[in-house]
Amino acid sequence: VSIIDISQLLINVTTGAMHMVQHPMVRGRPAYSLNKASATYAFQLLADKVTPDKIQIISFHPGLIYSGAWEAEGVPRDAVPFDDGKHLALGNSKKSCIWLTC
Amino acid sequence: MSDIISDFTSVIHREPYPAISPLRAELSQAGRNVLITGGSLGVGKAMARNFMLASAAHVIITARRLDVLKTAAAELEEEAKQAKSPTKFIVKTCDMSKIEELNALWDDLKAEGIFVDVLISNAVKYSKEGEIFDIGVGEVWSQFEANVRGPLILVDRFYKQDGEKQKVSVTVSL
Repeated sequence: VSIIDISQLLINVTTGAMHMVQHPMVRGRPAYSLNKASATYAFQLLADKVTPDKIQIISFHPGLIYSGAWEAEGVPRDAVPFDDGKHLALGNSKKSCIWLTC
Repeated sequence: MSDIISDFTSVIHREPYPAISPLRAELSQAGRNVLITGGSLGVGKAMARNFMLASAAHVIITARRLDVLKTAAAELEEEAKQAKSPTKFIVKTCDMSKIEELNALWDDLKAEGIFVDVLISNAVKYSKEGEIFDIGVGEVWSQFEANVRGPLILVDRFYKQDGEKQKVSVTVSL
């Protein structure tokens, strides 16, 4: 399916926390694993029913990105090997997730 | 197809067999109180019967409809008499989607001095047939309330009962 054949795109930014329940940044927040797994499965069930030529539906885990939320919680930058978000072109919303839509 | 299934399990049981009989002394539930949600019909009622046969002290069955609960309890009490089981049945109406009813259930049990040793989370709200956006987000969410929030509240209250006794929780997934 190429970009010109797709009418709508639905991108669900979800989290590896739904699988990586023993990860040091995840295991203290089991409620998050529970509700994000449920929400991601909701998108998956929709994706199973809607053909990509109508809506291309993609859930993806963006990586463990060191953001202001971690900083606010007092988690140090080097607590785990955080990603910096460059792969998503964070900070330039025009480029974010573009690669998923083609 | 049957060949593929039998690759995983060499013997398929469709009836009770001696190793899991509720009458085995090692499996005795004597002195235990058992709470079974959705206990008036089907799997829940069958589990209530088996805990009775295993001599549980109390078997508490919950469901939404009092008349159906009473009919089930009367039948089970009659069977208990025949089996010479000491089990006492208690019926409580409870809608798994209603927070206040779930809390009232546990408050009542506490007031009656009943500590639940075994919780069987069995009640479900079954889905209407239809795609998610056809049955509607409201309906989908009401199923979350009954099938996710309800069991969470059950286990929370079960876990936070007064006392230090060991507790056993069983979830039935159909």
